[in-house]
Amino acid sequence: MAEKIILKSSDGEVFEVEETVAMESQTIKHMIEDDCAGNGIPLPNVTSKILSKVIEYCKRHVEASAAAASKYAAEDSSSKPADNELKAWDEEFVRVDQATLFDLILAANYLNIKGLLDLTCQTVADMIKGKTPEEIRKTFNIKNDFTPEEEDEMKVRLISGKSTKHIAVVWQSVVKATEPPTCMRLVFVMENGNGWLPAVVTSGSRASAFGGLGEYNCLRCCLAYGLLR
Amino acid sequence: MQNKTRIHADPSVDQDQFDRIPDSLVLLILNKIADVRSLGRCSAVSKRFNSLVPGVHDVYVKIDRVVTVDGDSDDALDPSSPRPRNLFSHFLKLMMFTLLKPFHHLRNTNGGNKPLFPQLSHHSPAQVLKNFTHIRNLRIELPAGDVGTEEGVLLRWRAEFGSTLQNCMILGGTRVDRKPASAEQETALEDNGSIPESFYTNGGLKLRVVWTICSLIAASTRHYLLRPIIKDHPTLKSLVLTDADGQGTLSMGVKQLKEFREKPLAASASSNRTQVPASNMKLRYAPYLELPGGMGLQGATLVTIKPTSEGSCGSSSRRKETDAFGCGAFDGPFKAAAKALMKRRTYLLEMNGF
Repeated sequence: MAEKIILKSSDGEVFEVEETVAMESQTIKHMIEDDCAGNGIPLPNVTSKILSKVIEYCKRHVEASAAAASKYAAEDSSSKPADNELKAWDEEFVRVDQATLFDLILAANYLNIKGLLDLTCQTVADMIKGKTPEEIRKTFNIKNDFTPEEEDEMKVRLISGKSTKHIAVVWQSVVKATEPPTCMRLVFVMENGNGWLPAVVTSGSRASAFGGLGEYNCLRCCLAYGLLR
Repeated sequence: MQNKTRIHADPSVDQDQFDRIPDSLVLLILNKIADVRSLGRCSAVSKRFNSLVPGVHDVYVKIDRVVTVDGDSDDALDPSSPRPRNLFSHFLKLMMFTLLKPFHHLRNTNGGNKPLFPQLSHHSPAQVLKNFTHIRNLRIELPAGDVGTEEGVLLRWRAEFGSTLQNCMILGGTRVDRKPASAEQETALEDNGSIPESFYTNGGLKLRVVWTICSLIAASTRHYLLRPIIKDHPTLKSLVLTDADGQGTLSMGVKQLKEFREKPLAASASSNRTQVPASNMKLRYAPYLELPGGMGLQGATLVTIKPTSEGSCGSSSRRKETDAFGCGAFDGPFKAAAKALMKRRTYLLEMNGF
């Protein structure tokens, strides 16, 4: 006869779950072991909506573990389809709006359910991968709290490996508005620790650049610095 | 905000969901991203992300181009000569990879959408990893295997290094294909457990030796290239260097990294790779092996290499260790192949250091 555990959500709803399912949560498991589960376990941080989803997850995974255990005993190496099924179920489970997804992350963290925490965090991680910073901000409504100077600093550092403190660009040139620039002269000045090192770069003739940055990176720094349009 | 197409768009909630979760959970998410390029972009999203990214533990670096650098880093721009795949190719001093345009929106408005110049920037893995101060688990993936092989030939190596080679296992076969017709099978089966005479005379042994040497050169070169990374990251607990072809895997665990830092590294004469110590090689051969999944491996060979200085390889505990390494070394059907080969007769060979 399976033991039942009572769980109470923050909005007063009561859920009755089997002990094995409830024990998926390490937090609840410790409470049960410490004998605090008597009149039901209050979960003030979890709403009923989220708690029902969490219980759903735990149920499904307890079922899957039980099935896998019996298969393992039978030395059946055909657990692959079951694994794929579970994976598909998991993917469908996290197909929710952002607010719910983050609710689940918080709940999984609070209830200490590793599998659910991994799943939900991986989902968010997959939403971030491959996006530019601006796209990431758009997706999650994250405010860009960098000042324009700080953004420039990051760009230059990203491109040249050097900080803007080390590079000051003096722009002297004529750039035709409609054609790609064929004749450009940049006077590029770099700090080398002892003072300023002049570097002159001319495109088209691959002339020398003092100071070691090289033509390509000089141009890139200019661009990053907002001096080329 | 009138955005029509947004993933998980919920017009009633324009809230930054990340505001609701503590830094520890944001860090957990960043650790799941792992890919160093994506993490770089994350650090440009907001100040909070920027401060958390350097603390990421799990990092994955995918190298998509290997470029030969001969001094002047300016020339690194030119996509260099096709990656050398001949047997004793000159190995590379610096590994570079292309960082996909982090700010691709910076374009030359003069010529329409034509960018002013190719938006590529080359950075070495060590450089890119400098931002991370707490890396524990690092995985690096090269674009391809280092050892060029003929069509149909199977070659897989797994090596463990401390300050020098500790363990290496090589699985090879002259041909992998769908199970051949039974006629071929019969001729291949002069299998009484020992290596047939023909193996020595038709170049079979020579081929295996070549595979072994090439794999060891590849492994020791990779090991040597990891020096700056290991030096820069004292928090490293595990380091794995693989390639997209799945040919070779070099791994270093906690103990091995510790040994690396404590003992000086011996560079080989050509000083672009670690010295491979004098070793004992155990060769196991089967003219034909059936693999799960309906495949067959011809000329299946398993070579286990262990440095001679590691003590007598006759001790049973060592053998158990090596066996354990062997069983876990390869994936999929090749795991079964390695297991099957481990049961066969062992031939011992000795090898000088190089």
